Amino acid sequence: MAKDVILAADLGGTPLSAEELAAVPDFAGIRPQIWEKFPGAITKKTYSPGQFLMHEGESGTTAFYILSGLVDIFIDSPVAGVSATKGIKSKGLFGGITKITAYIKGSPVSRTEPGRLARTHIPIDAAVDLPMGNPIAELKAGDMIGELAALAALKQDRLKRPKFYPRSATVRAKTDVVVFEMLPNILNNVLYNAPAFKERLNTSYRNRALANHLRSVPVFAGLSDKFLDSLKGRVELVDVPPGEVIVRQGDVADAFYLIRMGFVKVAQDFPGGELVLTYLSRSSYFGEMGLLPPAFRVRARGPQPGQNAEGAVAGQTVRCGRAPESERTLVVAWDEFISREHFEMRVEGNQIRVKRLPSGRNPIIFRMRPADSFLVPIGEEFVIGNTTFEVSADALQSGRRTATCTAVDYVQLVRIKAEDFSLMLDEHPEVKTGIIEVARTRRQMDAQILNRVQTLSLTNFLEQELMQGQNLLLIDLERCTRCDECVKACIGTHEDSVTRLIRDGMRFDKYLVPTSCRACMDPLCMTRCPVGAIRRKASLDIVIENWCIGCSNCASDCPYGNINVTLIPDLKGGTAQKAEFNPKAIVCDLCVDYPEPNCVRACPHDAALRVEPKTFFAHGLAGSQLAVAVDPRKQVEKAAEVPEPAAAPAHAVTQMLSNISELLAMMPRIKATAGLQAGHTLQLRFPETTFGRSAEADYRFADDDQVSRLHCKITTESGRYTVHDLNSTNGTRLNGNPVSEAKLQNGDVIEFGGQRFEFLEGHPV
Amino acid sequence: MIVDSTHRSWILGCTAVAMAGTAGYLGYAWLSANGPSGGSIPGLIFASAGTGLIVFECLLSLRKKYPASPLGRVSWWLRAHVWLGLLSLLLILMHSGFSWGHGLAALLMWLFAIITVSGIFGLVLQNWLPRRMMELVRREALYDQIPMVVWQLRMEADERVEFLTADLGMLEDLTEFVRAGGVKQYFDPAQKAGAAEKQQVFVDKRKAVRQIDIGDEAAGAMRAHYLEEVRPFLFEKTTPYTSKLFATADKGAAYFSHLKTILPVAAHDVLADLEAICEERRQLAVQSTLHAWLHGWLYVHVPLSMAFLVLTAVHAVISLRY
Repeated sequence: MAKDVILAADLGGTPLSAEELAAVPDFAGIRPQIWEKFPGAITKKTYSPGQFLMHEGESGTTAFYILSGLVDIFIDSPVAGVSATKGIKSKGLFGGITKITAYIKGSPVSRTEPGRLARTHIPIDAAVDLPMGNPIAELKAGDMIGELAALAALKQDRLKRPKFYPRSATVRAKTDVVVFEMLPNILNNVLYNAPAFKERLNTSYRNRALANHLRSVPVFAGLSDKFLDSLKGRVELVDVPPGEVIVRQGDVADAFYLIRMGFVKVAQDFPGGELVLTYLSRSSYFGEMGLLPPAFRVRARGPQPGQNAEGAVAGQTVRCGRAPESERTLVVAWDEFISREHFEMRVEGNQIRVKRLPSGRNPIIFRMRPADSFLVPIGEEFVIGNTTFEVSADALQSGRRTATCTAVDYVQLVRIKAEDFSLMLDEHPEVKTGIIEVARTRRQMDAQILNRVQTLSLTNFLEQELMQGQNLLLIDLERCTRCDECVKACIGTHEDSVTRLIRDGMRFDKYLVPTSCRACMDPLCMTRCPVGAIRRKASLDIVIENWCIGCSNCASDCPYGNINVTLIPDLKGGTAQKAEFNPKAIVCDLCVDYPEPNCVRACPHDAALRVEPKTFFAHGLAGSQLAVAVDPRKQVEKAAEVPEPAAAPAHAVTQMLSNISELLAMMPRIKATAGLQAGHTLQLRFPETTFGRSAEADYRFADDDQVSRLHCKITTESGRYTVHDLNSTNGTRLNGNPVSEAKLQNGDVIEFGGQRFEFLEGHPV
Repeated sequence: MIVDSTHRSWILGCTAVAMAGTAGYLGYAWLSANGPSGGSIPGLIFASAGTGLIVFECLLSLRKKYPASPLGRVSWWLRAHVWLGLLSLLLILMHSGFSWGHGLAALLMWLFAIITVSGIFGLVLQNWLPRRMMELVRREALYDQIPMVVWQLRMEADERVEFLTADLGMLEDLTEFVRAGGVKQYFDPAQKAGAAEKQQVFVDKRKAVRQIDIGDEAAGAMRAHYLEEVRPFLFEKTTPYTSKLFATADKGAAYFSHLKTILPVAAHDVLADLEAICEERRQLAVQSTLHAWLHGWLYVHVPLSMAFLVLTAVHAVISLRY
């Protein structure tokens, strides 16, 4: 959509003159010059009851301001009548038998999020969210619809590939309705150049929508009316333009944010780059982790290697000893000077209170003196017997921001100050429990992601597209008989009978990377869902919830084409023949409710594999050749980035390489310059690689009758490579000379039959 | 299924059972006065064990039906199917006293032999053909979509040739097909119509006038060669002549080299595209053939197994009752 179409479209309706607009009470205070600057950018429209203002999914970049009357806003395409995974439906007398057969068939184990974490409302581009069970709400005079779609359209002319938000819901007039339809440019000016109008919208939001919006977030569902009333006047409503950083990793946490509109990118800085943890949409929140009460880590260290123990001290008291009996304990089994239950620790402000128990026989030494009860600040230590206890801050709960949050689009936020947030946690213990639970889940998720990228360089890690995924489906084409059992299993797993797996895609060596979700590090598919239906579960898997409206934004944003939009029957209250078909996006959810992906489980030939690419390609494919001698000078240069492994042998350092192209370059290989494989590079295997016409050969040249069944081999020993002729009929030549056995050097030309190869020794990093 | 080191425990286990069974059979054959017989107690024990294994093997298809079943991976079941199948043959032979029998018993033995041989044949093919397919078919398509891909290749080839010849006069339904990797949803009919109109402008332009001018004579030659030799190869069922013409990659290359010598240089890019299209079509034909070999044996193995199971039940009832 061109810029002129967005900003100069004919809206229809009744165009209003500057004088008429200035006379509208809701626009009081707006300078008349603004109306004159954009003639025709705002029109007045009237709708009779039952008339539609917009339909979900259709494109539209205008915003509607309701001047009078009531409208219904709802999701027309009903929430999918099918669930993504089949469940057990056992009823009546045969319930027991059904359960047994269900067990044999393999039923999903529900791993859905706990009640207080599960979504209850569908976020849309309007002043309200829609309840999940009955997705309909009412809007009245003073409300705005389509603000995000309109504002986001403004920045499209700066993008190489424009991204638009489709209408997130259907709007129908309930009574006689009068609305102003506005083009993005006028909306932008009205909102940001007319404080009075903006303030009116904000006041309306504070008074009417804030309480419901907060309560639509599951963890805040239990907030009392009294508290919400007190919060109304204290929260700040913040607007953030696209690209602006909202909070930065490492900064002191001073507020909690609830997203009112737009998308926020959450990322962590990492040596060599930025790692996107997730994208958050309306009704999501962030900033809670920095505001949670501080947590500490206590590390016990004995005199002998391996005598280490570590525990967290946060909300509850932790008991320490050789065999303490408590819910939360730190066990120090190696030191006989420490009693079975020796002391306890609890958080007091920004320090830990350590208190010796009556059962603790030997004294605790703190700052060179025995003490029974004392406060330990971060960084200090105390001693009992031969064991030293060090106190450190928990990096993820230290009162500082753990990630950087950036506005992806025009973002509107509800900012709750740290003191109000603390008050909320104190007054509502259930909210506190919920928030801590969410924080713990997010921490686990972050830790899982970070574990996956502990490599030399994140930039290198991300260079290879295969490495983008964190869980990759591979099909070993040497084993696969193309029986399609994997596809059938995928169809059988989902009640909509639509496969998420298409056994086609790029090939790498003998592996096919089929089109199935790779659960990317940076899930771009999540950045434009108008109803927040696509998201990452705690297990890092991408799931599309069944309130998807099928707008196909995620499908076009997926860099690997792994999301499809398909027509899925809505079986609610009808038979399959009478079912209505609604477009829905579908993506592989890695069979999140099953012990393992069913495509892998159903493969009769062990050809389907789910692998973590980094580990698989580094260890599985490259194998033993990962141990390479590293030039010490280069190692010094890289020392700042990579800590040297403690147990590394003196003569060589084993490096973990994440980038497959980097790996291939350093490995010995031969490049075919003529013959059947011309242009291809063949990786040499350890300790030998055979070439010939028969299936036994590692590399086979079945169509070259000048090649013997087992023609020659290349062996490696002590880093030297040798080519051996295996008594072949037509012989093997090295640099044009027939050889039976010869050492290879970089660039040597090996020929046999009609094949010619250049030997490449590879180079260490 | 590739027979590799992961089969070791199955091979060892089945060998051990087979050896124990053989020892038992030899003792039984040595001690029985009238020689081994299927109706004797040891004979019935061998029959029960063999039949039990056969029934278990038939459960493989049921296991495949429920991919998420917690009762082991399908690959485990297939390994069991292979090795217990061989073991069951031995047990059944021991049941019959290594005699082929008469009537229904002989029919059963024939069926079992064919089932076993077809199974072994299938196993050998499954060990060999996937590697061969990987070598020979670099542009593999989903088997079910081969007709669609062939249609697409034909459309593509027509389009390329029309750059040299203008309208070929080929009218085919331009069926909209679903592509993997996302479908464009047109909520707005005007959007869809707009996209179709844009596309039609390009098509009309190409069909109206030759986009690459190679002269009337060369265009006529191109048209004749394409319609008579190349295009018939781009159908699901090819003619014997064209199949022979493009039987190997070398033959295809030789054909297009010849065309390059008789057509002007301006046409060579189109010819290179056609060569690539024909090569892809040839590879799809190879894929179809290999696919038929990979799965064709199942048309013998599976129905005969079902028949065998039914006849075994009949055999058991008749033998025990009469």
